[in-house]
Amino acid sequence: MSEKTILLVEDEDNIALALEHLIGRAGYRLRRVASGNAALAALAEDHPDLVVLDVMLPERSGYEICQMIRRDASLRDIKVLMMTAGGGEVERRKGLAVGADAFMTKPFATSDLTAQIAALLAGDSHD
Amino acid sequence: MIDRLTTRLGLRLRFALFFAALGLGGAALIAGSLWHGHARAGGPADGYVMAGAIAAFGLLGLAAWIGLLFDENVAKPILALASDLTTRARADVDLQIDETQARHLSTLAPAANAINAALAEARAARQRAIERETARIAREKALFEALFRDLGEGAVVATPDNRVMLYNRMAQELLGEIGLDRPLSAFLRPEPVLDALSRMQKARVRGQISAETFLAASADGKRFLLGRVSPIISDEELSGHVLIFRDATDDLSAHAHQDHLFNNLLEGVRRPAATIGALLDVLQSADDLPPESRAQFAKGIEDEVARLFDCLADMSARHSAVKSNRWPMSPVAVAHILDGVAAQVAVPLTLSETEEMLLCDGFAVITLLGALIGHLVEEGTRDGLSLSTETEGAETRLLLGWQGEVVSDGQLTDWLREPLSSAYGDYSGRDALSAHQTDLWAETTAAGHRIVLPLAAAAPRLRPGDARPEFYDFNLPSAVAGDLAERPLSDLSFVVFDTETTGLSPRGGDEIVQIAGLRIVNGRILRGETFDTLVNPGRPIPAASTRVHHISDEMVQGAADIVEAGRRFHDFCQGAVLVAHNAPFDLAFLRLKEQVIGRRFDNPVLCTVLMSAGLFDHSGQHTLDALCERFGVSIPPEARHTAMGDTIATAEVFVRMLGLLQAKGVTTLGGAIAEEGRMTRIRKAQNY
Repeated sequence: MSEKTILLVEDEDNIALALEHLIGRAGYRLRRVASGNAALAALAEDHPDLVVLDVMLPERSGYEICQMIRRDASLRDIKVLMMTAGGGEVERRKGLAVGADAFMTKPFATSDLTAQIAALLAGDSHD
Repeated sequence: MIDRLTTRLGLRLRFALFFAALGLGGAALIAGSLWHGHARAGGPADGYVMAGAIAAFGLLGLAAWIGLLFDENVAKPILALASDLTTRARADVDLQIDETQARHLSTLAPAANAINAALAEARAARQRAIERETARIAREKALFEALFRDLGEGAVVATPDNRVMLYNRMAQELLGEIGLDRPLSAFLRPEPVLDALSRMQKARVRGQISAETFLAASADGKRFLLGRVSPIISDEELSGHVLIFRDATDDLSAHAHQDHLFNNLLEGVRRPAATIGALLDVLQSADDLPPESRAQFAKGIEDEVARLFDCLADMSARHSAVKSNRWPMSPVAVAHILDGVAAQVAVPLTLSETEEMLLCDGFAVITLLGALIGHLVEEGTRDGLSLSTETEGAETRLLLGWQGEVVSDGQLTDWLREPLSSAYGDYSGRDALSAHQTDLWAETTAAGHRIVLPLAAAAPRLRPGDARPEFYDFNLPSAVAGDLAERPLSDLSFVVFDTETTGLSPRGGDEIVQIAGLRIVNGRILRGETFDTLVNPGRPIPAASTRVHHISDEMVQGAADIVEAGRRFHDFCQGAVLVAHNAPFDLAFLRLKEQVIGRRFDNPVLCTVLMSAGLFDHSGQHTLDALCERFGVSIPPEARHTAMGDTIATAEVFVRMLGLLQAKGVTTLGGAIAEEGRMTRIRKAQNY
């Protein structure tokens, strides 16, 4: 089984630092970008298995990136885990409506995040 | 003396007496003159007697003949004319008076006809004026009724002693079972209103007529009403007051909730934040900590962080449950929004039919959708636009669909950043969405692309047909203390009721399965103020009874028991005279339950069977069907033997019998009950 790759799109450095460390330790290959446009470039360069996507990003919102992933035939199979500090029920529904596979509201326990990632990637291998 | 004579004797008799006197007087004169002539001149008396007899008889005959002519041509026509004139004076008869009957009376008949014509003209003019006035009043009445009925705020007009003279639909929604002639205190905790009234009174004494505000709870304490009360002054007298109010429950509770939430949030964040800060300080400053202590401190930080997360999760869940509407929201028909959008945009738009209602700022939503459509079509890459809705629970989603190019969330974000309308200043589409506590997004379905806008669904609009038919009565009888029996029947309010039961034997264990009641106030049946409930009898309903009233065991399964239904019915009957067809039967069931209900049905009672026996032939039929037939009241066959159907029929019959009692001179409740008492023996003869 090849190592799964994850793209982390998060503009806040401190949480990115922690998440990079945690996700790396869980045995995934991880790349982090800090803006919407950088995320698009990274997706074009290298096809990850999963994107951990913050909603509030410079340049382009997480919603828009998620929409673009879902509309691009070559990217459609990527799992998307969206996260936000906004926390309203409407945001969660909007995230799922634009095509996210899971939605998490900050703050969350890091163990919940890694469990969610594992579940999404496990589901992928079953398909 | 003469006057008395003229009134006592008729015109014709007086004419006859006059001519008789003339004839007899003339004969006497002739006799006297002849006797005098004989005394002077002498000679044989035979000649004198003969001449006297001929002259006297001739004169008498002449007097009789002229008298008859007078009778025929003067007296009778005068009487006929007088009678014609009297008739016209007293009743509306516009026929010409027959002038030929009075042709010997010179111009009297034409003069009478002139008066008649003038009278007819005056009457016609008065009639026209009345019709005009009536039409005007009817127009004003219709306007006033529509205005009050559909007012967005609750409106109640009360008498100076706080009984309800008028209420509108919103008042009915806010206050529940409000009814005409009922005390305000039955629906509203009256103290704050009374306080506002006394402030209003004091202001009035100072010469200021103004409204005073109040905040009062509904009688059941479930709602808070914020409103204003203002006096109605007519002829310098206080003839009542108007209360206009709205529901402040949600506002108050939303504010209270938000304050509470905010305080909880502060406290819930402060404590773990303080602890984490302290623990981190220790960890950083003390390098020489033994590993077990270090682990202990790390565990402490972990626990506090978990508490912080829990607090945030809890607060956000509670916050989303609190509805706060700083932006004014009102129920708007979706159809109105769709039509509004279609009128605003220049492209063809397919609208779906819908009956849904939204709680929103209609103008903002219309403008927002209009702006979105404008952007969607600005590059000519999208067409086939449509607007429809989808409802799920308390949410109604507006769906703006199209064919062609997709829309990215980035585009939507840019579009929403623009000011919504010059009417709203800098207020942007994003602001409007926040005010509605919602968001919108684009998604793609099998049928094409669409923008989804979730909004709060509103309760369906009250249809005009839901209006209570009688919602005001400005001529409520004044509340008179004292003996009810002495009060005029017309001043009383009545509750006509009927029960359906499991059988005919209240003492043999039969129970009530349905109660229906209807109020009569001021002689009007208030069809909107009804009581109609199924009652769980706590025992099986025999099939034979179900066949009569069509109420089965399943129908009463979830119904209230007699304790609750009886209490509600007792409230409904407060202050009213109870009326039923064969009242002793229905009352026997209620009175046997007074113990468990905990209320006494000690209202005065009238029975339409006994009233009928008193008014009509004792031996006749007094069944409800017979009475309906007698009075021309029709009960639809399917309503017969339903509690409400029979109640309506009884009420219709009862108001007609009240009219007959009045005509018979029975005007008080005491009189009506005495009338019934006379008939009590009939009851024994009747077979129920």
